[in-house]
Amino acid sequence: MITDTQYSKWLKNSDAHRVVLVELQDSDNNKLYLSNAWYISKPTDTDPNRPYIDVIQSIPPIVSRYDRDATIGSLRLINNGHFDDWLKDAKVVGHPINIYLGDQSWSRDDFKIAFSGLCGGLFDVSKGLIDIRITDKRSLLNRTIAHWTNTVPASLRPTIYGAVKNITPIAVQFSTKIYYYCHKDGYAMNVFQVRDNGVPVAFTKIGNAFYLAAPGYGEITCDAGSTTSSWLTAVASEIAQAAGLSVDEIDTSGLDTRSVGVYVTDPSQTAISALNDLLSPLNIKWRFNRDGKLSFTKLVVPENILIAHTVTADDIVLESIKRVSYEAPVNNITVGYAKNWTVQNTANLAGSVSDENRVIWSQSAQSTTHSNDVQTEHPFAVDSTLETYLVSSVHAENHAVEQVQVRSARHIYRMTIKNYLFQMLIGEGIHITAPHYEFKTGQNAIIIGVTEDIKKESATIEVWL
Amino acid sequence: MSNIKLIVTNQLNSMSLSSVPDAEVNLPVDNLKRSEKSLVMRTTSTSIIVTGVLPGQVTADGVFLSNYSFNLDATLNLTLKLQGVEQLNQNFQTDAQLIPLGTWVAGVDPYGGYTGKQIRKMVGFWFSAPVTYDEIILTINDPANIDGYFDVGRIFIGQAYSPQLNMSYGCQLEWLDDVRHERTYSGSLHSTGGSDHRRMTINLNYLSDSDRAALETELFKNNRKSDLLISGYPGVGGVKEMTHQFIAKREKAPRYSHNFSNNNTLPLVFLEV
Repeated sequence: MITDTQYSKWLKNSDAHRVVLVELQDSDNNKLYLSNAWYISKPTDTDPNRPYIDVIQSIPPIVSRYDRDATIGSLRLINNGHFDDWLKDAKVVGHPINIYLGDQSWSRDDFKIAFSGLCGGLFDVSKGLIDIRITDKRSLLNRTIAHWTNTVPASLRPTIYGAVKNITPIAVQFSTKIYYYCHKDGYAMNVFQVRDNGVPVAFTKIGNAFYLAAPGYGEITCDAGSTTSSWLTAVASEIAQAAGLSVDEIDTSGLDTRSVGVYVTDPSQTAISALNDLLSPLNIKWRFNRDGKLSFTKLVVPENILIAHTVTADDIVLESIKRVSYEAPVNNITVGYAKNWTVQNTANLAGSVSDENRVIWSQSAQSTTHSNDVQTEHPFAVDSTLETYLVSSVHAENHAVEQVQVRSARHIYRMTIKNYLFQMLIGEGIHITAPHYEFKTGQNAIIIGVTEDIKKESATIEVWL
Repeated sequence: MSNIKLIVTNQLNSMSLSSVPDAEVNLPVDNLKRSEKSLVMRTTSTSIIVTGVLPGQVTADGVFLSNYSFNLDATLNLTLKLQGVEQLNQNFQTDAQLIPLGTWVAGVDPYGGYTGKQIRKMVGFWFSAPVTYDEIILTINDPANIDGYFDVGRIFIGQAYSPQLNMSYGCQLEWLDDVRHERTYSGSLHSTGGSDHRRMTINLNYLSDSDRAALETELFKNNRKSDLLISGYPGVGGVKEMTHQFIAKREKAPRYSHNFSNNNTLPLVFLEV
């Protein structure tokens, strides 16, 4: 087997005979095997003696960006009659299409994935030419993540991800004092505290419900959450899994271990909106990578990033460096945390509730503010308020400080790197030295976009610094 | 050396094919009729016998194999039979051999030390006289094969068309590639791409009426979608014959000109498949 190091070396070898293999699957798990140059797997391969028909006329560049799903557009094929049955009968729309890259002389098992997506359909272009439209997997997350239960009484029950404060459980059998606080298959949940008009009361947990020792007369609320983890890594992954993704389809390496809590009460809420609500205020972008995995990128201060790539003037195509955008810095930033999922009227809270809790239960969240005060230097600097699902005040304060540094005045540059196919990953650090005003003495940056052109064997990157 | 030859009709396409041992399931013997380069016949044995049976008798004067991966010292045997009676039995092998570094070879090496694999040499031969047959038996022995398998892409057999007067001077052979050059900030010139194919342009400026009729009939029966075998300099040997002999399709529709009494012209452009 070829190692990752050998593969990287091969990618930089301009004399290599690169072959793009495409496998398109239909609803019956039959596959079309296509390529842009002739290729046959070896007798010793996992799928032995497999011919790939070299009918692919063009392969568009693969575009990856930190805030968008990787895309490739359409593959154009020459239809020599080989695909007539597929055009007529095959159910391919929405089914996997995988693109692999390797050398014509290699074993098939040594090829590596270049893009994994879903087929958007086969379409006529002109006589003898058809396009395979390829879509990303975002549609897989456009599914609701609240849960129905068939147990009596059948109902839609709210779903907890992580740890949540002061939610309103559903009273299903008032006479027996039973409340459902959550229903979520496969996850153990805890109820940490139950309150009646803000005053803690005794309760007994039974599965995803609890019952009170005595009837509740006021507004019943509770704190609840996962017994395993309320870390961001776990919560984002659970939301994606609730929409149907498998663990293998999720790469949580771009996430961290801050505690968060999400309470899904809206039956129409999708995983897409839940992930956006959870991650956007934390300045974390999510997307489906070109390998088909759900991935996450958190922008950090570029000056301090770990450098994964060093490129010089000899790597960068002449006249390709361009400054393409400017981002104004943040002036003052307010970070909300400890979201209160049931905002209560202080008049209804019991008299024994402390003044501190009285404030907490009557506000939608707590917040912390960090000042930057740069509007004199940067008139376009803006104030920013981030409503996060962070639980801890320490995490919120750190987030505010960090965002002021991260969201300084920034630029995005674009440039084309030769012989650097599939080497650079979104979020990695890069050190660039080139005869261009910004990079003359060398500059650290973060890769936020990569457009990989297999035909030109080059990568056009967007860097943020 | 003889005039240019074209096998326009590949008689193998009309044959019922079988092999011993059986070719690999995904790469069967019938792939020998297919033009796509990845659709080859593959055996994991060191030898294979391919048998082809025709519905009726035909006449051929040449056989050639292309897109093969057996070793250059593999031996081949062609037997042609008519109603079970042997008409031709001839051993042959590829005649371009790699000359190992440091090895002195007497005489002039017509291939300049090239291997057949480097410039896609076809292996085969023109018969000394046309043979009428209805069954072909082709045996390939490659005992030194260390890959664990070998492939054969195409077998071309048929009767060549060859005009009485040769093509005119000016035959053009192009090696088309997709190499692109790009310069970096430091001045290096990076080159990418590289796959190539041949394009051959000839002018048949001296076709008698009977030559024209014979060629026109052949080309009419096999449209531009069909593969044909072209040999620009058959029998001349060496790199010149090797580079001007390949399986091709015609780029343009034929345009005959009857420019003189009993004389016709026809320009042809061939694209390597």
